[in-house]
Amino acid sequence: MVVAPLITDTVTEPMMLRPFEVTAVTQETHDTWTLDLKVADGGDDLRFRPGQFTMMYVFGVGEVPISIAGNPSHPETLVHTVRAVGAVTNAICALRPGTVIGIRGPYGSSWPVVAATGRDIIIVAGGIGLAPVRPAIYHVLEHRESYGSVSIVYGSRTPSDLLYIDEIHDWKSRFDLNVQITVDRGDGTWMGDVGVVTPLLNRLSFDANHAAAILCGPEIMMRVIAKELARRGMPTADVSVSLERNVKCGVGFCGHCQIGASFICKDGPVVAYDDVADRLGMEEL
Amino acid sequence: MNLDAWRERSPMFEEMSDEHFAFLASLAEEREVPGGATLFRVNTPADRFYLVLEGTVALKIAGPSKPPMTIQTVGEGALLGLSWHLPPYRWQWTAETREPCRFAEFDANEVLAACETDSDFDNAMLRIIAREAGRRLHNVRIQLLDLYGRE
Ligand SMILES: Cc1cc2nc3c(=O)[nH]c(=O)nc-3n(C[C@H](O)[C@H](O)[C@H](O)COP(=O)(O)OP(=O)(O)OC[C@H]3O[C@@H](n4cnc5c(N)ncnc54)[C@H](O)[C@@H]3O)c2cc1C
Ligand code: FES
Repeated sequence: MVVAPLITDTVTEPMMLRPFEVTAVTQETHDTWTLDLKVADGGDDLRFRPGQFTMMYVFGVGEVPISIAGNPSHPETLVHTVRAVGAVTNAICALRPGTVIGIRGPYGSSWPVVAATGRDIIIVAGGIGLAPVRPAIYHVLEHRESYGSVSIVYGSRTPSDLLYIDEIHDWKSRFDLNVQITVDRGDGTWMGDVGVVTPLLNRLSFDANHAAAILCGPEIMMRVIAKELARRGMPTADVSVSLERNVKCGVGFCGHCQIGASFICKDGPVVAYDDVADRLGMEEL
Repeated sequence: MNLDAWRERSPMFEEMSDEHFAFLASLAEEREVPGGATLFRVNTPADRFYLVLEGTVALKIAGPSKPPMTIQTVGEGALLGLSWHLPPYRWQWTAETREPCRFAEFDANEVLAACETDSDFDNAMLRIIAREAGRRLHNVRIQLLDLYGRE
């Protein structure tokens, strides 16, 4: 069996803020932008594992946790996809090339793409949830021969809310990938699926006892998908989800993100579904 | 038709006995339909139903002075057509194939005749319809939540 290698992260100073310069900005949808950044202190690139996040600090505005959306084997470009929902994310989305912001990290756990070597891979993302799983997709595609069947299921609100549309077209054109896309509401030109993501799982072939599922999106979506995978015979221990709630310090100091004995920022954001099954989709974890 | 592979893949048939499933499968006719074809039109008699084996079908409805809009698409493993067993026995939607599709087609009159003579089979069919209707309702509720909007 070929084991897919992966870079390990190296956060030596967990609270250290490093300057990063915005090198490119791409508008993905009406409220979401992707930023490319490069390290501006002459130091090492920010190496990360798929699923990890950084704390992005816009000087004078504030700091927020944002997942890394780029390719783990190209750490020279730090990529973040951000949806403008409030003060800090609006400020991030308004940044233009040449601006310098502060970055801490990378932090948190990662998608088990190495442990899943040799297995069938099922990736299900909803909305902005495609951003945190994109590094896992890059890793799996770069080591495609190390995995069995690979399926990507993505749900979005409307066709114009779909992220990474050019890349989705590339993925759809590959014969070694099963890509299923659906939207909640179509428009006059949309010829794809309309409806929730769950029924699309019917179109995936995988060996339930030899698969790994990576789920990222609204908590209700992750719960429904995990249940459907279990119905198809998949042990829920093989299902990973990403929790994106209440992170403030990002390093286990402040307690904001605590669930039971765990901290989302350190033990998560990627966790085993089994560990959070009874709390997923509840109003507050 | 041999539909055994669909017994596992489609949650609908989970509760059906082997005997009833085999009987239902014996009534199925395989049908291939090109993309862009209308399978049935809203408000016309619902005299058949389908199990989708391959491809995607759009369920459409037209609002007043608006072009038809796709409310939902159904794909492999889905039961297409619920209106054949319940009054007024008319389609609630227009169904149009999005791509070349393959179906197991069932003649509703044939299935209803079997339901009349075998109440257990009737029960099993009603459960399938209820299950599929429940599943669609659940999905539509989730769709209405606007999950991918700002949570
Ligand atoms: C580990 C982790 C990874 C994340 N990755 C990403 C990412 O890759 N891209 C991205 O755009 N966002 C991501 N988020 C969410 C992002 O951190 C929040 O949207 C951000 O903190 C909001 O800050 P704000 O000051 O802009 O808005 P605030 O003023 O704090 O909030 C404005 C509105 O946004 C809502 N909001 C706050 N947090 C969230 C959230 N987590 N999800 C949805 N709505 C929220 C609030 O309820 C409020 O209504 C991630 C969160 C975590 C914990
Ligand atoms: S965010 Fe402070 S402890 Fe996790």
